[in-house]
Amino acid sequence: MKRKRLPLFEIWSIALITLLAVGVYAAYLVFAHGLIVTGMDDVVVWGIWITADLSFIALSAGAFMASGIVYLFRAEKFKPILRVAILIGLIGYLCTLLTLVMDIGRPERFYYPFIFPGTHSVMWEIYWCITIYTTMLVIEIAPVVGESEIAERRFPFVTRIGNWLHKNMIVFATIGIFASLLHQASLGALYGIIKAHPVWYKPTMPILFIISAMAAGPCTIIVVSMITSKALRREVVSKEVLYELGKISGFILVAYLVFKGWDMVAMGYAYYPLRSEQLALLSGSLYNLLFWGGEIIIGGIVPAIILAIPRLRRTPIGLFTASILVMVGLVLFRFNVNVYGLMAAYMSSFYLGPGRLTPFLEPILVEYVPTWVEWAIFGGVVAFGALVYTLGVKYLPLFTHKEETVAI
Amino acid sequence: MIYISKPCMQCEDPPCVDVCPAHATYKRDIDGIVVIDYDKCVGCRYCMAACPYGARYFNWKKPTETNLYIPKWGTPEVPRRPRGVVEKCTFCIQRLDKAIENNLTPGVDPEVTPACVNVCPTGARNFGNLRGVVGHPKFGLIPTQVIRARGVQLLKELGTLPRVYYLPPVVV
Repeated sequence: MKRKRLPLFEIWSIALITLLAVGVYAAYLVFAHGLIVTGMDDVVVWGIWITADLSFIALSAGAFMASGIVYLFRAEKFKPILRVAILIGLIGYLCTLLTLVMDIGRPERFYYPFIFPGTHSVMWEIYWCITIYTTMLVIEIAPVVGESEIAERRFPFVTRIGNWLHKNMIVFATIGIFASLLHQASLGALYGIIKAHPVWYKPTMPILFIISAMAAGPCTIIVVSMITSKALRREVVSKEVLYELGKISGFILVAYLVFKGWDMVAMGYAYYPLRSEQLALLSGSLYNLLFWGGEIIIGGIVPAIILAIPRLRRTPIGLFTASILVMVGLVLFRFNVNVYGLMAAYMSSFYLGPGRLTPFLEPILVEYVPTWVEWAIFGGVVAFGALVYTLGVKYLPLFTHKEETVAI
Repeated sequence: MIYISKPCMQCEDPPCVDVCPAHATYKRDIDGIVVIDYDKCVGCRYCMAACPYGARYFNWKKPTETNLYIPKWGTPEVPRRPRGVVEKCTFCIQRLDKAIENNLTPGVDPEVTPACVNVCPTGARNFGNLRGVVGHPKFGLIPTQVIRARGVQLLKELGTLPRVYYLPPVVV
């Protein structure tokens, strides 16, 4: 007797909708009671939500890399991943915006940075870049939506707009690449300029952020394409293209690791008050395991080795494992910078000498435990992203291409 | 280590002002006091991460329970801040602002001196203009040369130029 296949699509959809429903309930709690329902406090002001934002944005870096490779460098070989990369990028940014709305204290004032510009703020620049880039991603996905059956049948104007945009795509793609490069680095600068946190305050922060994002961006495309291939039981993107992507990611990953190693050594070149003390304190906590075990070994060296050896890289399982590990390493990097950077606080006071005061500084480690509301909203946002992607795969021509050249 | 009170240091070069994306926190032109516009604050908390002194507090929830800091007598001078914005010490600008029109001197006249200075029973807190007079309404003035010579700023090495000075006790 033939075994009946599990209704995978239904199970998947129901699971996502359940997660989304829990997230919506958690969001209601936040709006009703305020951010008191989170585990954040006046010292650890940013928690796993900001970590999630940073990770979503970095994992979406594949979108700007793919449009750069296809539109600017004209590498036709990578055209099959362009559409899925852009959809992943758009979903990543939408997830970021959703989480940010939950995270800021006054969500109804989200547009204030535009009408009351704080031009000297890194965050203001990020606001602008994310807005511009999300718009560009919408424009870049518009032709794909226009090509879909529903649009062609019911909303022909979408198809017309899409076609017009497609003809001028190189302009939008270039603007998008610039905006993306700017804020991927600025997200590091967001931390790098803060004198109050010695473990953040270093000029290498923006560079580390952008290189790690460029290493992990292609990995997201690889992982998502491979899972989609498995789910649809057909090869949506040819393996050769994915192997090539893995190779690109591997090169950037090695560059990132070299730079990170240099950064760690160079931190010792000059003394910045409290930096070594805080790092010493952190190395006694879970941070040690997350940094050396997670970020460096599991998320850096192991995937770099897999991606460097063709015999390992050119197997689906090897490529998939390496890509997942790079993504995990990136998320841990963002988590360690954001959460542990804030948890490493300090007490400042004075010693009382005879008739004089001498500075007293001592690093302390502050507790931060995310509440279930934070996890629920994180899960809801991820479920939202996965749901949008599922619908995209179902209704958009993501992996089919009309015979045409790249627009110019 | 000694226990000290840490109000907002009212830095000459405040890191919190530079990072605000909505221009909600700024230095007043007249006296350089760093204030927050609670109607503009988005609640992103970047300024709290940027403040080396932990002088900023976020309203994680709507303040509803009885405020122990509001006295049983009289009326509060400032409204409570709404949920979702950052707040901090303002050197009691609602009092200082009355100084010019009433021709009063902060640090001498209690009406225009910050509340924490007025209620300090030992005169440990003093207030005033470092280019003018500094003192406590009840306990008298402190020569500004003494503050300049012996006053110590917290985390001076960060270059924020705090305008709160800590004076060591005088030994005989």
